[in-house]
Amino acid sequence: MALLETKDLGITFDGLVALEGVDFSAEEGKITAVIGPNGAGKTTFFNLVAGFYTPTQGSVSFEGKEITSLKAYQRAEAGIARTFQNINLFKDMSVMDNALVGLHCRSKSNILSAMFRTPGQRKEEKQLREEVMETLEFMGLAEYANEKAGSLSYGMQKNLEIARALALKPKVVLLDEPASGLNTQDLDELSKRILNIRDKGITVVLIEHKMDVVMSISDHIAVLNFGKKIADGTPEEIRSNHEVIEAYLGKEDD
Amino acid sequence: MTFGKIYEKTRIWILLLIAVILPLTGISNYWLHVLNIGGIFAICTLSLNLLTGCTGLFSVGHIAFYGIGSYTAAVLATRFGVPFLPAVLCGGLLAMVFGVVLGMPALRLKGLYLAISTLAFGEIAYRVFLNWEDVTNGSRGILGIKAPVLNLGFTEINFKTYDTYYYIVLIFLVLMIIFMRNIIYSRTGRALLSIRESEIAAQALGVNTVRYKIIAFAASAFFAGVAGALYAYEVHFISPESFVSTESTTVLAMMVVGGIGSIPGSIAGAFALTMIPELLRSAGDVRLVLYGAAIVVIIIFAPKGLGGAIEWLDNLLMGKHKKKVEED
Amino acid sequence: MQIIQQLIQGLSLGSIYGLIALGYVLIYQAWGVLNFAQGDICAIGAFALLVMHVECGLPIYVAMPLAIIISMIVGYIIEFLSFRPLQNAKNMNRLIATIGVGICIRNLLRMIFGADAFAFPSYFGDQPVKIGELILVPQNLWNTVIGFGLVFLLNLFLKKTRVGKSMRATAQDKEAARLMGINVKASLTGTFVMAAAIGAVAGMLLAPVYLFNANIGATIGTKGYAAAVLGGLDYFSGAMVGGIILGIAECLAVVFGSSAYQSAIAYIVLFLVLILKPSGLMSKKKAVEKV
Repeated sequence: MALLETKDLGITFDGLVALEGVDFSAEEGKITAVIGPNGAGKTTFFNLVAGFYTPTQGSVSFEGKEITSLKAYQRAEAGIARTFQNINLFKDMSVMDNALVGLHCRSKSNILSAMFRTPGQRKEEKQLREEVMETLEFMGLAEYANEKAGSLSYGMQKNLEIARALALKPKVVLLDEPASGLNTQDLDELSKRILNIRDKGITVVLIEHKMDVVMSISDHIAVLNFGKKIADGTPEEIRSNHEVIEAYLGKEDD
Repeated sequence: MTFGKIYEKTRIWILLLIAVILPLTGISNYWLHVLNIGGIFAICTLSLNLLTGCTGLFSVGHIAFYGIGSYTAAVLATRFGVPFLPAVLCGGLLAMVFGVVLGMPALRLKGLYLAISTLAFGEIAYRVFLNWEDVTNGSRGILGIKAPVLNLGFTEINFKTYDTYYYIVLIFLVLMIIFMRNIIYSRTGRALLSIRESEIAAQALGVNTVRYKIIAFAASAFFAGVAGALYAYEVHFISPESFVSTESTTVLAMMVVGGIGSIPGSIAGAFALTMIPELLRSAGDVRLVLYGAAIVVIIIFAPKGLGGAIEWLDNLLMGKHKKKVEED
Repeated sequence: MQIIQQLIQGLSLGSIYGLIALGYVLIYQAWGVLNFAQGDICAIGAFALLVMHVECGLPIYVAMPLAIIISMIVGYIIEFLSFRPLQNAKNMNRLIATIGVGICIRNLLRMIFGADAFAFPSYFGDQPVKIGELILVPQNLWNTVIGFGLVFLLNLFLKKTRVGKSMRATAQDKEAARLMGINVKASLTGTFVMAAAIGAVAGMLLAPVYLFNANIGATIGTKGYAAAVLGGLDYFSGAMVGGIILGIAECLAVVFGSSAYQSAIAYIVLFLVLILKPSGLMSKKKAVEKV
């Protein structure tokens, strides 16, 4: 069943068409990749799905419900988490606090209960901290819990991006180029982690340039070019699709 | 147990003890008054820090909330005989209402544009204090704000003198510090900090940034209003001149000199900038020139503010510097 | 008729606000910080002229350039002592440093001249000109002419001369300017000193028509700051537009409201404009957020 679906999705910036008529669906419990050359509109597509842009045409639906008019934070509440292509951490906050923000939607203490540290608030805070440690451990970040996010190495920062999104306990996580800038060893680890995320029952949608990663872990691939979807299928189908090879793979140096 | 450990465990209590016995040391009334004003400004600076330091929203008109709290308490006390605590609370609440009213449209604005809308608000508030004679008594101000009285049944404690009112300010300041700390280390605090760090990432994680910005404005305005109300009871007379826009920049300077985002820093900044002009009083007219220069010098030579220096000293006393060297 | 009278008054006042705002914009573009001491630099210009013209008895055409030069020197000292050391500091810290500088200057002036308001002579004669029912004060007319003239000259300078072009290049992108062989440091200093000169002129022109004392820097600085933001900080002529809107709003407030709320009404206008056009009136930048 399609967990996340877009119909005829498109957006125009100042008369410039960035994305047009994209029909896309991500099956529940599967890894779906969105690939395409630079400037194909992949990140724009993510921003539309996550609610950061309002589409000028088409719709986005999640779990069969239309969510086109929901704001970004409401989509996060509904269970759509995302990471950012250019790392967008809370740099001056600790690793743990970064991940704790991910638990925002699933906790409920407010400013008054915080001011007076009511028993309920304290209990919740304790639970949150325990829970978030699990997520940090999963991403190999537990030992850095009290470090400032900005002081982590590049690879660890990328992991924290993912950890923070996972802390939401999302139904679907959108990963925007998780592999960019990583070395070969880190890449293997990342692939394993993404598969682990899927095995936890979280649907994964990822944008990625590294073809070997995409081909090895994806269950399904959608290809964008010049703001339009040009192909859609299993890795094998994509590999042998002429249009894709022409538009994309032929020019790829990797 | 090492000295560092003992220090770490007892530092808060030692500080508190010093604060409690200070008025008993024969300190002059004049300096007690200065300390009280410093404490009141510390509350106001902390409230600004909640908005600017934690949430990253600039306010250049913060004294308006302080003024609203001050006038509310003064009017309630002098016209309607409302006792101290409810009057102070109402001062905070009315300031909070204005905080929300200002916060809502201000949410569309960012950075400097938000700052200027708060500046405009501060200017408007000042004009209202000055010209709404029926309520504020215009430039003549409100006289005769009576000191709080605590009725214990068998006896009454009157907080008329500076050394008694000192304890009221101290209690409010301690409460403010506790509240600030508790807020920062909570779900709400993390949401506010995340807005400062990256609004977009905050939204992606489900933080309703609009809602939390309004919360930041409301809470900040409330605490500033309470500080203003405390001020009214300290000086027993308020006039619009206490709430001119340069006072807003003073509070801003206290926060930055103390170090943005630092609680001990805000307190140190508020006391330092309240006391420096008084310490320089013997220098005559040149004191405010030196005061201005001192702000520049502190910012150039201590970019993390007094809070950074306190943190350094704190770590030194706890013996954490040594450890770091060993680790290296 | 009263409305026209106030419009003229507002235009004149607004051109000066515009000049003050121009100082803010120049420094903001080059240094990336609002100079909260700009109002006090204006005050320095006014007081320097007072000393030169009234105390020393120099004729106005000698006193004025001298006063401008004095302000430029003071500007240079401020830049050297408090702007340059903080060039790489956090924005907020730099902003507060300028507040410190403002307090410093304000109180220096106060030490020298006292806290009372001064009667500044009107340099262009006190005889009002009557046209029908309109009463025109020469100083007001001159203020408008000089205000617009200076903005025009400044635009010419920044667009046509080599020095002006390098200043603009520096303001836009320091790294690129450096690569092009522009002396960035000198350009920054030049911009600051120029802003001080413009501020000084604004102060001189404003002093005869305003209640001017040593503390005035804070008040007129606020107006300049407001006008600059109102016009949009990324656009030179925006400063003038912002200044004039503010000036006219203040003066029309006298017609429609009470003079007591004069500047409150101006700030309400400012507030509304900001809500409707969040990045300033003249800003061309679209408020599209990058994700």
